[in-house]
Amino acid sequence: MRISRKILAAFVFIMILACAGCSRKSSGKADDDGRWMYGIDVDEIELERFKYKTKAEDSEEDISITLKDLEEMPVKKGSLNPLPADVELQGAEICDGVLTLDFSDDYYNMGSTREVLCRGAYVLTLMQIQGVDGVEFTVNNKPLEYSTGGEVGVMTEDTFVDGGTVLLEAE
Amino acid sequence: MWFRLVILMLIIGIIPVVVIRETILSGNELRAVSARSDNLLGSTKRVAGDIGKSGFFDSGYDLVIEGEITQLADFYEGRAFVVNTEHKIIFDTQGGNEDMVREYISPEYTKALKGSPEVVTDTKGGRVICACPIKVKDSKEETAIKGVLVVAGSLDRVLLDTKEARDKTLIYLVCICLVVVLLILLTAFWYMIPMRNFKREALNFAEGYEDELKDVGGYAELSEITGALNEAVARFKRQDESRDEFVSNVSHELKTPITSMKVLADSLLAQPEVPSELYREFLSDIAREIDRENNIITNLLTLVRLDNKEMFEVKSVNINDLLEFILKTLRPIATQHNIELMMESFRPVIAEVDEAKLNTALTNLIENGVKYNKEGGYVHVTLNADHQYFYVRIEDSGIGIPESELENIFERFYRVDKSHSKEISGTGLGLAIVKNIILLHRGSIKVNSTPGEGSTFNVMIPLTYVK
Repeated sequence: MRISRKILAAFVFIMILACAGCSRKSSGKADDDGRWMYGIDVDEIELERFKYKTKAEDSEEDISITLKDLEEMPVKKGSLNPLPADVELQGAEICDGVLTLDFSDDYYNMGSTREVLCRGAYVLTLMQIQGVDGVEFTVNNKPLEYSTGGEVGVMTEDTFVDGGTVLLEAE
Repeated sequence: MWFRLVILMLIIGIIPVVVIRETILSGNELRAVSARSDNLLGSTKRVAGDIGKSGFFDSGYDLVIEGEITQLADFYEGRAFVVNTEHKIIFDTQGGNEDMVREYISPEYTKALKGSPEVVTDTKGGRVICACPIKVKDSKEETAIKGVLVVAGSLDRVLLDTKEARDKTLIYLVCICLVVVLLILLTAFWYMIPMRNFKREALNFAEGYEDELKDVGGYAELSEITGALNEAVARFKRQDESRDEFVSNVSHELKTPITSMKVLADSLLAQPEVPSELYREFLSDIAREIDRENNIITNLLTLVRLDNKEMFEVKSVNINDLLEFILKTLRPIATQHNIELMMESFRPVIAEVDEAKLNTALTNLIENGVKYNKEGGYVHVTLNADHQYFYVRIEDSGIGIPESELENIFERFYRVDKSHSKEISGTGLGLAIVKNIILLHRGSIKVNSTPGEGSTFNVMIPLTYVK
């Protein structure tokens, strides 16, 4: 009995050593079933995302629920809602895969960085819904324009490059 | 015990090695990552400066600059963007749809726009990102930030190096640890040799193969234990021997009066015609022997009861009164031999004692003083006390006790001068009983004596009884 205890002890210790040499755990990736919802960080300089799911049965219900959650959930997770409080989402319509969101006038009052972040959050969140192939913003039913001029047009996830999760290779 | 020793040594031996390796490897990794970040920052700053000096923002096209940026991105195995102040990506080293407007969002970009370069390391993702503002001097020699150069470089190579180092050192670590384990096992084994020897000797000793536990040496502690065990066994042996001696003494003492009685009775029976005076004389001798036997038995019983430590009744007793009572009882005997019996008390003394037993003890001592005295001598009893103890001194002018016998007088059945045992009746148990009672009270008794002049017994007993 003595001998086997001796060997067991030595064995245990060698195993402990082996664990010390183990490689780092691989970084966690979002599982493919779940989706991400994007919010804006409190300093308004980057996007913050968290895992998200809906129990919607079709895409229209899904869009509806997601749009509603975009105005509530980010705050609950410690971020900002993409849309500032004074801007109102007046309508949402989907046609041929393009989802058009209409906002109130106050949309143009947003700072340029905040505006880009807001668009990015909406687009990156909504593009994960099946049936949404593009997102378009309108302000009072007029197409959204850049501050330097020109229409923004239909946006997809490719429109935005999120420095936080930017891949080193092209998507 | 050996097992515990081994485990402890393994912990002490191996854990530091593991910790040190880990610390060194982590430190190296940190340094390598930091170096790469610094390099990236330097390069990015340089290229951003070049972009600013060129007309890249104005023309939107400059092969040389584009080449420089691409070279930078390739060198760091990553990707680079030139982003204007409106988040629009002007140039992407990985191409992308030229027609599509793409917007760049990142905190580093936003911070760099304010004028200071930003470097962020993402060890988990294996990347390091650097964003540098692109400053352009206009015609009025004033600098304005026109955009940001963002370079995302790969840390994979650095991390791979660390991993390789980790793997390589692991082999060394395992080898060292195996050697350490081996050494520890050997050391522990060697260390335990005296213990094993001791165990063997102890088992032999317990079985009875040896009379004495042999000292195996090795450690001082083991020798000390051996000595103590031998002491204990010797003590038990002595106790055993004294018990045997006691039994033999008791038998002898009990038999003596009976033998006398038998002799007396037999001689009476042997003679055919015995005058009634002779009967009377012999019968009174027999009665005396019976009394003696009775005394011995009573004393023995007292001793045994004391040994059993039962019925120790403590209560507050006035010692002065107790002593006076004893003296009153013994005065007739003292007067008989013309011995002066006196008591002196310095103060009233109340103490917590077992009255009956203390009575027995003090009576014995004072009676001895009277018994072993000369004609016309004295026995002085003195009582005193302080705040902790009370002291009784019994001083007599008797025959005294030789110095060589002083330490034996409290032993059972011990009588100093065997020749006196006929003249002065006694069982040899008196002082043994006295000592026992004094000890039960947690007190002490000491004796001084000069043969021919007298003896003094000093008794000291605590005023309050502490269990």
